[in-house]
Amino acid sequence: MSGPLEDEFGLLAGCSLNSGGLTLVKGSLQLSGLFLVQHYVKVLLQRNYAVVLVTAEQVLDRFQYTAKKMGVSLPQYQQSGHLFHVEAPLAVVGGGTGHDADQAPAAAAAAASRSSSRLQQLIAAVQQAATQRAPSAAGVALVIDSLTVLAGMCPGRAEWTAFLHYCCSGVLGASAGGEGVAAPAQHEQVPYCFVAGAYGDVPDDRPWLASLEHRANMVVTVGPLPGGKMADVDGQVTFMQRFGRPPSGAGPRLSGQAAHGAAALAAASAAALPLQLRQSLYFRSTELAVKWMAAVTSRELL
Amino acid sequence: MGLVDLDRILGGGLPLSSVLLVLEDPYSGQHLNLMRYFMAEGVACRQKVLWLSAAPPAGGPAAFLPADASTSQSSTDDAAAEKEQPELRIAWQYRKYINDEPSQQSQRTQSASASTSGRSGTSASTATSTKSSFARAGAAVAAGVGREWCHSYDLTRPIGEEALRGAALEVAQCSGPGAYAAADERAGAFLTSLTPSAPDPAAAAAAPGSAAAVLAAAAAARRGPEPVGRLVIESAGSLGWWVGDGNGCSNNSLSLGSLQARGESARQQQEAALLRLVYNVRQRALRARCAVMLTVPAGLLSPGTASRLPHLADSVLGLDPLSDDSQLHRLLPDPASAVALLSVRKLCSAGMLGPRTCDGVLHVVRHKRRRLGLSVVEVDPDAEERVAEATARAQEAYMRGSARGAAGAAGAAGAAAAKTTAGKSAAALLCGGPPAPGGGSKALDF
Repeated sequence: MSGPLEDEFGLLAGCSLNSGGLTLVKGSLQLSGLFLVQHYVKVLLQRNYAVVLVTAEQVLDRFQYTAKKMGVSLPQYQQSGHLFHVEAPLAVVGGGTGHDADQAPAAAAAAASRSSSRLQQLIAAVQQAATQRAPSAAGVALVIDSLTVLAGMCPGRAEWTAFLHYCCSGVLGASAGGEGVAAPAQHEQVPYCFVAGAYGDVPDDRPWLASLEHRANMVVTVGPLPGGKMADVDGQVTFMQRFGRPPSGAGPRLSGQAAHGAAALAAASAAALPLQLRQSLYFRSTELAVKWMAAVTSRELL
Repeated sequence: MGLVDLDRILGGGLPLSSVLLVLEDPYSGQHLNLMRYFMAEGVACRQKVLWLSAAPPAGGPAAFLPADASTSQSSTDDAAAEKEQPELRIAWQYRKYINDEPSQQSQRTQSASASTSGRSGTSASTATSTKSSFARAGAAVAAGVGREWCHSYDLTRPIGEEALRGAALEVAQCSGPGAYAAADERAGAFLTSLTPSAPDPAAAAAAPGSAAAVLAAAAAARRGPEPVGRLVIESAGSLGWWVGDGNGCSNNSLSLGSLQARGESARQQQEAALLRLVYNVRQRALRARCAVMLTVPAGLLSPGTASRLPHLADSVLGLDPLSDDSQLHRLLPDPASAVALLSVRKLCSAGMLGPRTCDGVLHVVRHKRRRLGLSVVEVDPDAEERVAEATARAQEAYMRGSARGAAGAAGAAGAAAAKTTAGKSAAALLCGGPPAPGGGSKALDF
């Protein structure tokens, strides 16, 4: 397909990145949203962000492999100081129930505390990576490919909430820059984005997932087609922008009611308003590319 | 995987550095057969195998693993297969890996699996094999039997101690209070041993063609191929992992009683430990040249844990029971061999740009005495009708032979009733057949 249609995802993703904050990518077991996180990494790097990538569901090698297919060389960005990789820590597998009932809560508390220290180690590693970013970086982005997998460490609820709050707060954006940054500007706030993948079909995660949805500027949901499987369409991605600046008048060239909605938003104030923009894209994934479609017509299917 | 049908369902096999989660069927126990195939294939390919179980079988792996079925083939097949080789058309590019030298080693070094359609950077390469065994496999491919990915096994014959001599198969029992911690430690050591060695930074920085690069390549060639392994964790989360190591029945009952007394909190701790174990196994497996097979009794776990576990695996298979009196069992062709249902919940999408979707096709597991077979569920629309007709004929013959007169009239009435029942068969309704005579319009239930 032609260039502008291929950039539809990039245009919509840019809407969320312009306003910064949290972008939550929700998938399910039927359809994983990991590929969207990979696309977001590409968009962030192309926008000259310094990306701190925390891998829990996949390893960096697989990210590099898929980025190569998208025409992005991750090692190159690593060398230039725009991409930093942090591996998710291993969990502490404690003992079992023990032989005494009094030992069980203590063992559980000990395991939880060790897990929380692992989260603290992760935060420290992320902070250190952010401070090493290139001075020319336009902003800082924290990308976690799967919070659901990271929650498999089973940390305590308080520690997990604190970790999520740290990720959403934008503290990384206020961290000191790399070499060459003048001392008075070290703590200057730079644009900050947090992109996180999660799966919405785990009942135990619904409380914190709902909290993140409430806090997110953009919620991207990927799922199968509501009417059933189609031969040439693998699924549907829905972008729900909850907060942030409306897109400019020239904005993404979307079809139908989305374009009408974009025009209405462009007429609004340029200041951040709690406006909502909902747009769906259909996609078909092949070995070498993901084809995005704003509408499924015979033209896209042929 | 050791089972060609399963390899086909997974799209070519289980990739290295991936985890396969099997949700157990509590009634048929077919997950054990899948495990047997998986481990037997690892032993046959001389790979390192580690088996973690709460209760290893009494006879050990020698009695548990199946024997290779291909050893029963006569040697006269080799000549015929070799003659066929020039005419064989092989889909996979095995030919370039064949060593034409007749003095090639006879030991098989076949890898864990072929790559999936979305091949990852760590996928195993296809292996070489002897000329005769490859020709045999090629003949099987040409014949449409499809034994191109793995060996064949006979479930009725155990592998025996002789075949396990020299095999790198290790069995570890994990049960009791520290079961998960012990399993984590054993699995961690095993997976760490299979992690590829990091490239020398100096060699990596050296220009290609330089002396340092040549020396590094020579050193890598001397080291030989990196080892490949298989890790099997059996029934993690089952009650066997909770209770003690079986020192005595009284100890087991005491442990079980104390668990019941602690109730919900104990179960949550066990499930948290299980999740952490699976999380660690996957994190390590992503960096190791190893394929992991993990079976869990999903029915015993809480909904939260049961729904999180599939996200900690790359591929997920679900086994469901198939009872003899179920509608589906009656409609299947050859229902006597159908023992369970298999559904693919998730497929490995490593290295793919987009998500990999499952077809949602249900497969039936057939136990054909010597081997398992996996086939797509196909409903025979006439099965029920045939059974009804056969029953009616049998009744008629019995009535005719046993009594006369009134008994014969009663038999005729019974045959008429059976025919009417056949006209209202569920298969006919299921396949959108004609409505039952006099039965009104019954809504089709999809």
